[in-house]
Amino acid sequence: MTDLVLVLGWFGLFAPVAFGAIGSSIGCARAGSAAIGAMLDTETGYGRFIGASLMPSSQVIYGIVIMFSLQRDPMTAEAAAGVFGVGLLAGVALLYVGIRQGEVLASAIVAAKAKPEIFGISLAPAAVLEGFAVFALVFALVLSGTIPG
Amino acid sequence: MSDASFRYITLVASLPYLGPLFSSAHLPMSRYRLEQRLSMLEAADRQRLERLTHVVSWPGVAGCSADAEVFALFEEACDAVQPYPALMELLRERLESRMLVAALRLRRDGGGDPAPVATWGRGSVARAIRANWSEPTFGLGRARPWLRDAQALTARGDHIGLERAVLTEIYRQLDRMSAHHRFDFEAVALYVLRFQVIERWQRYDTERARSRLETLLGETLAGAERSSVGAERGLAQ
Repeated sequence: MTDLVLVLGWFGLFAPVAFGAIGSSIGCARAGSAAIGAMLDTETGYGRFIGASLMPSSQVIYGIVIMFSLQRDPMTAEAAAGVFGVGLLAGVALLYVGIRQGEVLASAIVAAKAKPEIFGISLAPAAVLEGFAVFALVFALVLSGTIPG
Repeated sequence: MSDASFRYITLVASLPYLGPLFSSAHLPMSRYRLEQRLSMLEAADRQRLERLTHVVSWPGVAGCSADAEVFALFEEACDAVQPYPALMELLRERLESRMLVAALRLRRDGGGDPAPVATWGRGSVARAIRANWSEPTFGLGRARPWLRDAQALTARGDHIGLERAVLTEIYRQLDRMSAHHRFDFEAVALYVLRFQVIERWQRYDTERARSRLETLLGETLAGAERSSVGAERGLAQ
């Protein structure tokens, strides 16, 4: 039983990085595909399309920060349950935000291509999603301080 | 998340904004360039798209000598786009619009005999046309408000106005559907269909302009001929 709890603890420890990386890669791939398409249709603004498409990459960085804050040496059964809960849910949040960010950024790139003056404001939904990921990060850090070990 | 979904994202992002119908004098890209971009699609999707665009375009059905052939073409296209219910719905609506416009023309030209409509199947629109032949909008004016305008324009013999009203309705329908599809096959298909509508209107417009130019040239040349004959006569006297 203790072994299972420890396994879950390790799972929870790495979950923010793994799920964050998946979210970032899907988000960046979606937004990047839109940026590449937009570059076929425009003569300028390549840099900002590519720049915007990299926004979901922050999810994996947040995941790494959460992983370090949850790390316990050694991992104990008392700490493992808390690490599993916080790590898993933070990871799922980062995964979801990364995917959705990719979608709104792809839409923003398509819209900004037709109407360049809305480029800044079209990034607002992606920025709001980023805010939610920051909430997940901050409160994971706060809770990690209360996990024993 | 499949490779195809990323391909759709790239393809949709590479297509220029079309804007409202009648708003621009030129298409944002040439047909050649559009075909080039569509080469990003997989062969099966490409085939599906060709079936769809063929059946909804005027040249696609112009070669049909009987109504049954048109229905068969629509059936084939419906089978081709079966994985996409939105496109099947679009085809159904397009067929119904065609039936309604054809019925308006038939009634104007043929008077009181709805006999040819008997071959148009058992769909609700065909039934409504047969049952309400003498009503201006076949009893469908509430569900399809554009029919009132179309009926008035048909009665007046305003072909350009009718064409404009029908294209506006088709474009509005495509726009409405596009709002639900951002980066998928339906989005690509709806873009190509909207492109086709604009292209058709502009070609129509070009033809009108050419015929007007020919008329003006004819009048000018006839006027110049008359004045040169007059001048020659004057010189002779």
